[in-house]
Amino acid sequence: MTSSLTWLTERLRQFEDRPAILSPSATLAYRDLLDARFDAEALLERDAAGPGSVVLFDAEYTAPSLALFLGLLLRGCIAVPFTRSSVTTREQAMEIAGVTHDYRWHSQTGRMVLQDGHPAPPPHPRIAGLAREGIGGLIIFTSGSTGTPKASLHRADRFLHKFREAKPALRTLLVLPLDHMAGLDSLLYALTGGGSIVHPGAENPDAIGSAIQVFQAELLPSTPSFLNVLLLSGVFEQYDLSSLRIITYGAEVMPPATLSRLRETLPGCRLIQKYGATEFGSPPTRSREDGSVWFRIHGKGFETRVVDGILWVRSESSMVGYLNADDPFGEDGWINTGDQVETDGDYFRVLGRRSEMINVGGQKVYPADVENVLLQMDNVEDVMVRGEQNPLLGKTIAATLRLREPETLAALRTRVRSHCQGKLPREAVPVRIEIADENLWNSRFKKTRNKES
Amino acid sequence: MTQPSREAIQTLVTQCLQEILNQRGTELSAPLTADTPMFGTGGLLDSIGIVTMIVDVEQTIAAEFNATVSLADDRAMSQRNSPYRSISALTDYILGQLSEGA
Repeated sequence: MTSSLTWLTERLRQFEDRPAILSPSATLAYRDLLDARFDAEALLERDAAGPGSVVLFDAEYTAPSLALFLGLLLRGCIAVPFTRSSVTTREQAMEIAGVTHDYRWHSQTGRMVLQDGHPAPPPHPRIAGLAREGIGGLIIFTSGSTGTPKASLHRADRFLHKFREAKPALRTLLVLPLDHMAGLDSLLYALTGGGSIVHPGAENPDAIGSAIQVFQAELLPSTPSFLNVLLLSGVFEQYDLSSLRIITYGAEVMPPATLSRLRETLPGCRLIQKYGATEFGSPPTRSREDGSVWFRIHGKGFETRVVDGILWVRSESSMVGYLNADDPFGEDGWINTGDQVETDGDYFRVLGRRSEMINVGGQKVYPADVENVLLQMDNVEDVMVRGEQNPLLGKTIAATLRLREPETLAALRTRVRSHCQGKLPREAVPVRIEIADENLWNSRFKKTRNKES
Repeated sequence: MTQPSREAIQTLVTQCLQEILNQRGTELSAPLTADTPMFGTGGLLDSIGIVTMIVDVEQTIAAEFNATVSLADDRAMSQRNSPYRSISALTDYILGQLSEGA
């Protein structure tokens, strides 16, 4: 066992019979999870997975999967969590990360099963470096702006460091995928604080509403798109969700309209903006006042600065680097987040990704600003704004709207344009307006704006 | 598909232009005619205005005549006589595209 992580098992052992995972199909105590970890370590031993091994596995909220994850970290392996909402295909992930072992969840036996016939590729120099130190790691994929997902390599000890300070955790409803920084961070905050993870088993609003009510979930980490879906689905009226004390949201810009509807629907609940990235995780944040989109980062071990309107972060828990792309580090370990921010004292407001900015005839337009204005309209359920190539202006604004009641395009167009008057500069008013017949968010509960034409 | 008449297309273009002008509260010094300058020297619309109107015209033709025309591409931009200069010019350009597609 990597001695630097003994604190982790000792911590988990303290919680004994407390439930670690609550789901409609099973309850798993901390003790069960630690027992399962011995099986997982035996399995890894048998399959010769040790320091320097790069191990991809189906990352689920189940005992065998979580125990394998724990075993990988403790044995000094490089863990590569994979889910069906991953930004890569399994094959692509295996190739980029140089995977040596691939474990799949076998539903009939409820076990993690090693897949055969996998030639071991030569290790990436950064992975070989960790192996020499006997340090485990973690690879998380992030969608790159160029199309190829980037593999971000973290050292297990540094990644886990921020969980070392014991903080009591709440009963947390988690649907965020475990191959994603927000999912991993939420999982580890909960487990290292003796909290319970409530997993609804399915991702539909009904299952989520019911799980919150039945298991009395207190904390809901989420994204704005996901919250919008919950609001629209009516689960807040159908189920008793009064156990919720805190809702956190991140990954996207929060539309003020969604925020105020949440405040009305759940008056007793604290709403907290999170800010995180695959490259450095999620530092603790504090919202300026309840229901504000302004927040500040106040975590120990995280520093921030703003250069040319862009937020830079430096942290002890930052990744080692990418395996397949140039590192985003500036001098002295500062990371360029690519997020355009507005500042007020030490508070930030994220305007959007610089890469999402749409240049309309030389004027900067952020999709989120346009979406916020459109979301205030009657009969509009959800909105997605993107840039569209235009030979005259470079880019123009295209908006896809999901409606509650049918409406003709001509009528909607007139309404949109008159609604935007005085609320948006002319270049930000949508030129192309379309009506959607599908959901505007993807399996990671984030809007998919990259459908650029 | 039967080719829409010149009159039908011209009416459609005029309505789209009128709609954009109404939205912007543009006051007309004289009634709109087929030859009123639309975009370019002395035109009623600026670049965002014309781009918006073009998309409206494309979408309306698609809805009413179930036909696809592409009015904002490099080909349209590179015409010796801009198809955007008047209602009449744009109508001709649309009819040209529709007959090519027919």
